[in-house]
Amino acid sequence: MQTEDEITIEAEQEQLWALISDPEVLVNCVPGAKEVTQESETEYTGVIERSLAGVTLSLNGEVDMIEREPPTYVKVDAVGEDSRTNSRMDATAEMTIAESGDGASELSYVIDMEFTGRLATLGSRLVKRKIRSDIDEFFENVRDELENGEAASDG
Amino acid sequence: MTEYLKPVDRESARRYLDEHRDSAKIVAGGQSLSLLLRQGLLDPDVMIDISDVDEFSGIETGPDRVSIGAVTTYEQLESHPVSSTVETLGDSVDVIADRQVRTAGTIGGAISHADPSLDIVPPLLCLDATVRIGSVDGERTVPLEEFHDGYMAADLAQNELVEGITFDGSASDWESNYAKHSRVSGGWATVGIASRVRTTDDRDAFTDVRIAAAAVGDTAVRLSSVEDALIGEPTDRETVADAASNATADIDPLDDLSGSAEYKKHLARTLVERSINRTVDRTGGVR
Amino acid sequence: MSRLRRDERTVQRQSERVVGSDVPKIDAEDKVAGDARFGSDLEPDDVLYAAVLYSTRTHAEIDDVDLSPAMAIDGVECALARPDFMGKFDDRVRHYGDVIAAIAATGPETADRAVNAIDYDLTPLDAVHDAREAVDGDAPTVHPNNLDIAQHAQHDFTIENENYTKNIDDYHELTVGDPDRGFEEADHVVTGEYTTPRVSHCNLDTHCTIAEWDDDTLVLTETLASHGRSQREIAGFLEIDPERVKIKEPPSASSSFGGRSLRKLTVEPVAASLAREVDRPVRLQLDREREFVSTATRHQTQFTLETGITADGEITAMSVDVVTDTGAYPNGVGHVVLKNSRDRPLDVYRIPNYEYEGVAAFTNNVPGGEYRAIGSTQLTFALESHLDEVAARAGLDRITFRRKNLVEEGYVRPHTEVPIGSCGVDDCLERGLRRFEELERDETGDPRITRGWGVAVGAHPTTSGATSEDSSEAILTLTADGTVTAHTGAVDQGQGIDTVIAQIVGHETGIPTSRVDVEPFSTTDRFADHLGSIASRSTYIIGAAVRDAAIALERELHDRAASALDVSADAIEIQDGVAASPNGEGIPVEQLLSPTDGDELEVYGSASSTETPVSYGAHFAAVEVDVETGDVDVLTFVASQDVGHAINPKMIEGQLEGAIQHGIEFALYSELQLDRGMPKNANLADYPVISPKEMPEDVACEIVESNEQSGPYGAKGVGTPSMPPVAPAIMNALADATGNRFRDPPIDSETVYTELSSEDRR
Repeated sequence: MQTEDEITIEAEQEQLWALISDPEVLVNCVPGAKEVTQESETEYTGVIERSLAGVTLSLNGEVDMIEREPPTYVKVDAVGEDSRTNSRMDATAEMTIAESGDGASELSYVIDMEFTGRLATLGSRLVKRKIRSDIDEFFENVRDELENGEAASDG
Repeated sequence: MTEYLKPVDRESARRYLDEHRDSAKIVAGGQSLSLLLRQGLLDPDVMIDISDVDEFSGIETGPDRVSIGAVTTYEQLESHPVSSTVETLGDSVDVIADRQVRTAGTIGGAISHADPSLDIVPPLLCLDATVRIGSVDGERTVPLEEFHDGYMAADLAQNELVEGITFDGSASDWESNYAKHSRVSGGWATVGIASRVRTTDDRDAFTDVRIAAAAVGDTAVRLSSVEDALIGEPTDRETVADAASNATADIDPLDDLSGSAEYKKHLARTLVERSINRTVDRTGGVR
Repeated sequence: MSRLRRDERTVQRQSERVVGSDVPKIDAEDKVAGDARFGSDLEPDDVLYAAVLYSTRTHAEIDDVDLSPAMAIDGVECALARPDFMGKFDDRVRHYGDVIAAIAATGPETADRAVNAIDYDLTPLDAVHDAREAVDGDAPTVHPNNLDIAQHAQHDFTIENENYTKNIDDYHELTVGDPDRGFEEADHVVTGEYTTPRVSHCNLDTHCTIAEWDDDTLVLTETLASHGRSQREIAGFLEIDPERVKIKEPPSASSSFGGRSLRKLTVEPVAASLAREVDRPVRLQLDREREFVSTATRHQTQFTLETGITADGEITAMSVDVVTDTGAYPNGVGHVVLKNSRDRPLDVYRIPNYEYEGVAAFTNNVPGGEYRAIGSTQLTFALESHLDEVAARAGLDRITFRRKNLVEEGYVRPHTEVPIGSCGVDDCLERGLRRFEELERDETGDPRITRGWGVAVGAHPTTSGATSEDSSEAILTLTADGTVTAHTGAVDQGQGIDTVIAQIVGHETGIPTSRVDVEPFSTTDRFADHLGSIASRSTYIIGAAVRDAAIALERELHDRAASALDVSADAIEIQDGVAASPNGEGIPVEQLLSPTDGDELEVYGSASSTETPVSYGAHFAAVEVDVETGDVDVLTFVASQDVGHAINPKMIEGQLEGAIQHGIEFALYSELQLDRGMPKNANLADYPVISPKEMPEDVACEIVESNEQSGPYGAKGVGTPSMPPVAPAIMNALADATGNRFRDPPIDSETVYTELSSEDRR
């Protein structure tokens, strides 16, 4: 499934860039992310725990920032696997930022995500809404981080 | 190995749940739960089977109250007279899945599961239903409209369970209907619309309207934009058609296997119009 | 809501005895009462349960499989990784649902837990999911061209088409006459493109096999309809002697519709490998998701058709181009899809100039396999949709145009030089139309509803045609309790061959059908039948062999009775199991056994045929479309079918009604959706299967009997030939109702609505 959208964030483009080009920050903004570990300059691993309809998924995740074009574009590959339910998630996310004036920036994203295994069998009908709400939450976390977190205090 | 508990009464059910909290799953008909269990997505430590608890069963009709016990099956609801007098309930149960599911699936199970596609919820929303919740700490009630507070989420603490649902079935001057579109008969709703109306004595104008939709949002939703556009207005088809076009304002469908968001929006408008027209026709009004 | 109304059948019966009458299915009671024992009901005492680790990637190399965490679980008896399986497995997985490793354990829950404990690493490979892309030189390699892993029907092919370079499973090309000139001579030339979906059989009972080694011999107990072929293929794949594989059908065979014709690489070889490793019987059953992705589906196929006609509506030339998706592994039937789509137009219409090119490509999709009227169903959908468009272009009536070009009995087809045998297609059209008109409904007057009707002609050969001669042998044994047991190659998957066998035996011998038992097939040397129950051959060839044996049995009993009653042989008549003489004396047949017979009197029968008679159908559909929602309702359906001779009219009706269901699903509902090879709806909640509510309000069956000389009692096949005309009749009705041609079924309500509403806006 593909999702795309644009959001406005109250932050300068350089601040937004500093955040979204930092894979560690991105991973920590993922809802349910924990035990985040750096594997290399661009690769991070962690565990993503999500709950839906009483089902808890614990996905072992790997994130790799495969492209970076400062100060506007990043592309990230992510894979998460839950062996208990033989489920896998593959995602590619592209984010582009642009100055929108008045100290704000526009963040547009395209996310291509696939679920396979038992969770996918349960039905894309169930999973889609959850994913959309998680994506919304992710970008809210990005916004929070910028507007209220450490990044906001950077020059 | 999952522990299986079968409480014999309400107190034991509440006690078991309080003891095990979120390591336990409440089960009655198992129509939502079994799917998750069979696919290995759920592996609860404890299952509490409440299907034999008398206090949770049965349909009681009083002068101003209809009370449906949580473990009432769709089939039991279907065979009860209330399904004929409250047509939105009868229409809805008619189109839910198939006989096998209806014989096992329960109203309480549906309400607890909080899947926005479940057909029984919009009729209950139109009936201004209240959810009865119990635990060792006592009882409380929550309007169904507030009970589903997120996608597949319900306002239930870990030691609470749904014990019944109540609505006022007294007013006999309401008419109602449930209209559903699905790929195949008995399949998941692409869109499901419940409508319930009250008109003036001469049936020329709406005095009160309730409309709710399944499968087009994080939860089942009331279509207040349509309701507002109808209350006090004439019952003719043009007015209804106009009002129905407001349905889009209250819904948030997604693209999925049932159809695209655009199509669902169109279907919602169409089914709202048809459902209200059918309901008005049931009042016997000449239009 | 729809309700089936059974109309009066119109059948000309030729016999007053058992053949030709509505004998109830002999297995019906057991099945309805739940007493039937299917393959999945069998659980031998010492059996182990298999669980399989399936790939969720569509193309990958297996780097490493660590089975030790699984082996450490109590109750796990063995674990094997794919490269260590017996036979021609390599170290790659090529579709979602392909096998990585397998476990055998003492219980199913243990086996499942063990499978989840396996650690493994896959290196993803580039994958291809479109057949047309797969044959292009730049595509990732799924397999080398013409891969041979012991599947049947391999043949050499040369390809002159430079677009078809790699991943080629099979290829066919045919030119008849001078197509270029034929198109030049045409007054109208119409081109159309059509796509048919990947459809799943959705058999109620999922694949289940029990594999056991008896020394060097592998015994597989499961429903496998084409047992001889499967036996050879499994042996070939496992690299053992064909004599070393035996197939045993369970007491009741499961339904198939082609889904159980052939071996699956995810089933038999996996179970066999485990069974040999652990030297105990191993039971492997697939769950519903695997049934969708790890078995086989109908081949998704793309067609380009071009037809030239004169102003009068005579076909001058036709060209058919086919690209079909074999999926990740060959089942030997990519060839059949091509061959059937190549030959079918020439079996139905007179086409003096014809060209065909078809390619079957390997992709990283779920494998394609056998499915009711394989190839013909896809082709007929495309062809009959196309001919409606051709007729419209020339301003001709749809039925008149078809009738003008239909073949008839005796017509010599250009590609086989074999004349058409029995051909009732024109009768089918005439009687079908009359019946259809009788069922016409009054207009509703509802402006939200639009109606339309359509017709389609279809055909499919009886028996496989993969071999130049088909043959069968049968044994009948009469025992002292008066029972006749039939030993044949038949597998009754619900099509009713066991009942037909009982009827034939009863008809020829005078022994009541209730005393005829049909034994489930088990690989044997005692008689030969290599193709089993596929391709609608059972009645035609197995039935003929049974008839031969039954006639011989009757003769033998006749002679013995004459001798016992001391009358001449002509005077004896056997009825109700008693051989009677004119003076009223009778002797029950079981008393005619002699000491030299031993326990049973045994007779052989055989039959063979070099013909593949074509069975025809002309189907009519009326649909109703709700223009506000796009919902399509099939109101009326008339299936007019030429069956040669109706041995059991009631069962034929059942076949036709079942075909109608399948065709409605094909046209309007059912498709296994793959997105980059990964399933979107591999479960019965999301994969639409219809119920009686989606069946037409009125269903009528017209049985036409054209008397096929080469078939027993004049019969030819019905199970598969009844399928092809259904979906195109519905799609033609939909085109008539909406004024729009839909070319890629299944067509859902959103598609119809979108089309209708976009027209309004114009």
